[in-house]
Parts: sequence; C-alpha cells; structure tokens
Amino acid sequence: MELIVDRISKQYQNKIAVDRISLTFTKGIYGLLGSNGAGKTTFMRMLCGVLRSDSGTITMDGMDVTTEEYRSWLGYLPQDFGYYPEFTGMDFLLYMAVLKGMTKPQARRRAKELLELVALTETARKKIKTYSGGMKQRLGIAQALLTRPRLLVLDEPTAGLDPKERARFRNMIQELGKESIVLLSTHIVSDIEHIADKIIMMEDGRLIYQGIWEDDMDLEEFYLGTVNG
Amino acid sequence: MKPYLKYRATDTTNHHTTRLLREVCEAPPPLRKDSFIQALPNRKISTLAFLRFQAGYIPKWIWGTSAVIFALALAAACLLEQDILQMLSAAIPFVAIASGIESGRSHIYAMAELEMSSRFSLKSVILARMGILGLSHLFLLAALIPLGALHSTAGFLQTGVYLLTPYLAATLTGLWISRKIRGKEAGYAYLGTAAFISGCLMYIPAALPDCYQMRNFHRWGVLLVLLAGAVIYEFTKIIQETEELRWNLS
Repeated sequence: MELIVDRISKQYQNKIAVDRISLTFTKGIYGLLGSNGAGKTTFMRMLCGVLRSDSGTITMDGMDVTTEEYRSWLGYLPQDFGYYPEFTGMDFLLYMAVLKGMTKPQARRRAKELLELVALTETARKKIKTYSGGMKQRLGIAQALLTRPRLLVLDEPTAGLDPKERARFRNMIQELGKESIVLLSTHIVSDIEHIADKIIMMEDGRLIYQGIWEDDMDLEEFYLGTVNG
Repeated sequence: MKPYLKYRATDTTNHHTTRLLREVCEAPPPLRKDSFIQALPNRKISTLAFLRFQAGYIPKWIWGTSAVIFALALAAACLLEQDILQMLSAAIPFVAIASGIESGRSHIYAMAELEMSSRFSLKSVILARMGILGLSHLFLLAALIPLGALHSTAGFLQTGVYLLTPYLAATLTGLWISRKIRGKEAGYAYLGTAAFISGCLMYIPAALPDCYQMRNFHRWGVLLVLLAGAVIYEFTKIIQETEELRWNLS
C-alpha cells in the first residue's frame, strides 16, 4: 500500500496554498502539523480528490486520485461538515454508506458497529441537531471509517472532543494505523505526539519537515524551532 | 473427562455437534481482519438501488406539496364549476421550485464536501435527485393537463403550454438561485420566487384579459421554448459548477 504525492501545487489568486509538495506514504499514522493558514486543509482536500491540484499527481497503488476506485479506498473527515436537518445519527451513516457504494444490509451492519465504536449507540435514533459538538465529531469519525478505508484523512479530528474522548480516539487511530495510511492534521501538538509514527510539518504551503517521530522528541519545541527557522 | 466423551454417537444432532465442536476446537481470535476485508473486492450497489435510495432522501414535504396540489386540483375540478386552469397554473410554481431546492441542498446544509469525497460523487447525487423529481413532476403534469383541459375552455395543447410555462419559469429561477445563493437564506429566495410567479399568474389575467386567448397562444409557445432552453442552460451550468468546485473549493 503506497500513496505517492508528486509535486502538487495549488494557488488561489495571489496566494500559493500548497507549493510543490512531494511525499510518499505507506501504512502508519502521519501527523500533519502547521499553524492556521499553513495549507494543511488544502493539502488534505487534494489528497481526497475534493480539490484538484493545479499541477502534480496523487496516486495510490497506481490509481489516480480522480478515479472512483481511489475514492472507494478513502475515508475523509473534513474540518467542517454539515448534515441534513432531518437526519438521525443512524440515517447519516446509512446515507454516507450508500454514497460510498455499500449495499443497504452491509451499510446497516457497519453503521451499528461504528456507532458502538464511537459510543453513539444510545443516541443513534436521535436527530443530529440534538447532538453536542463532541458527538457530532465522533459521528464524523464514524462515517470516515465506513468502508474500512486504506487511506484515512482526518482534518482536525480532535476538535470538540473532551479529554476522555480524545484518549479513546487516539486508541482507535492506533489500531487503524496498523492496516491503513492514516493522515491527521492538527495545530495541537499533543494530539499527535503519542500516536503518530511520522511527522509532517507545513508552513506557508511548503513542506518544512518530514521525519520519524522519536519518543524523546519534544515535538512542540521542535515544531516552534522549525517554524521560526 | 474430555468433553467429547460426554456425548454418545446417537446424540450427534446438528445442535450437539456444533456445541461439541465449539467446546473442543475453540476458534482463535481473528488476525488481520481489517486488511482481509480491505482486500475483498467491493460490492457496489446498482444505479437503480442508488436512485431508489436517493428518492428516500428527498424531503417528505416536497412529495407532500405535489400530492396536495394534485388533491386540490381534483377537488376543484369536482366541486367548482369555474375554469380551473388559472388556479392550476398559479399552483404549479410551488411544485417546480423543488428542483432548485434539491440541486442546492448539499450546499445549504454543508454536505457537499463529504459527498464530493464519496464513491458516488456530488454530481451523481444531484443528477439522481433532479432526475427523480423531474420524473415525478412529469407524472403530475400528465395528470393535471387533462384535468385542466376538461375543466377549462382551453384544449389539451393550450393547457399543457399554460402549465408548463410557469413550471419552467419557477424551475429556471430555482436553479439560478441554487447557483447564486449557497446559504440557508436560499430557502426564502425559493419560496419568494414561487410566490411571486404564482402571484403574477393570478394577476396577469385581470390586467391582460386576452392573454389566454388563442390569438396570443404563439406568444406562450415562444416563451415556453425560451424557458426550456434557459432551464437546460442553467442545469448544465449547475453540473459544470459541481466540477469547477473541485478547482475552487475554499
């Protein structure tokens, strides 16, 4: 399993959001760090095929990002996502599952498993508008896992989660990282320092660091040092 | 004593065999279950199943509006002795506006990004919903046109044109709104537009008594053709913009 990002760039009018980034991902957990406006979301959107790059290519095991097959391997949690007002938690997962190409019985089975995993079984039949921010975020994480993705892209996944939920989320991600490529972005260093195998840092659309996470590393200090040159 | 010795040969029914096997050979915990499942070829739902599924997600009030308008038309045809064509044409914009609402719903409720990253993309979702609604409206119009023709002085063709024209006018503005207004305020714009077109259709015959006369029919025909062209153009733009969104999402 190999995701190859080859010199991708994206420009919005005068601002270069992503500047010629090349990376190769294999199984494991990757933490993407960067301040607000560093280009993390744009980069992740391009990895998910939601946004086209102006130049460069993204392929997973030879499959281009624009293909349906690539999307079928993908699980994505955007930074902000909405829901149709009439949806319950279960409806939302079933809806997303069918969009991902699952049959209805498969979708039902998987949705139940995931609702249990994210501790939303009790509230599965309640309207999403009654959920707290943390519950919505957990539901978003569940939808990203529907197809047992080979590539899991999570944009600020811990936003809105309380410390207990954060810990549970970290355990879940650690398990997923054994079988898939997991890329999660955050500007909160502590979110990834204990679970990421590799660290990627971005600033002003450029890749400023990529490397293996070492246990004795003070990531926060290292990050600030790298950003400040 | 070994568990399997507790059972005699005569006890080996399916139930006992299963229990015996469970006791003797305990299944090991699954290893690499996720990677095994990931490696299986994905079974994809058929397009028909996808369409059926999308139909289920069109809000009930949209179907309700069509049903209510049909019921009112039927009641008016049975109970009133006056010409019901004007009434029908004034009600039609409220049915037509559904196309606009459905084409913009993903954006209104911030579902577009999630839908774009799915196997069936946002374009498929919009096409499916619009196709379903278009077909249901076709059935509704096919029922209303004869009803209107039987309870008015106009013929079938005239009735068809008089109903299709406001239908296309409301569809056109609905599609235009869904392209231009992305937020929740689009809902008010849809409703306002439908009410405006409906109001015009109630008012115009009073201001222009000749407008439904046969000598003016060609004008309706021209308007209908122009509106049909404009609706096709707007629809194409919506699909194009779904693609362009991949370039400009911000």
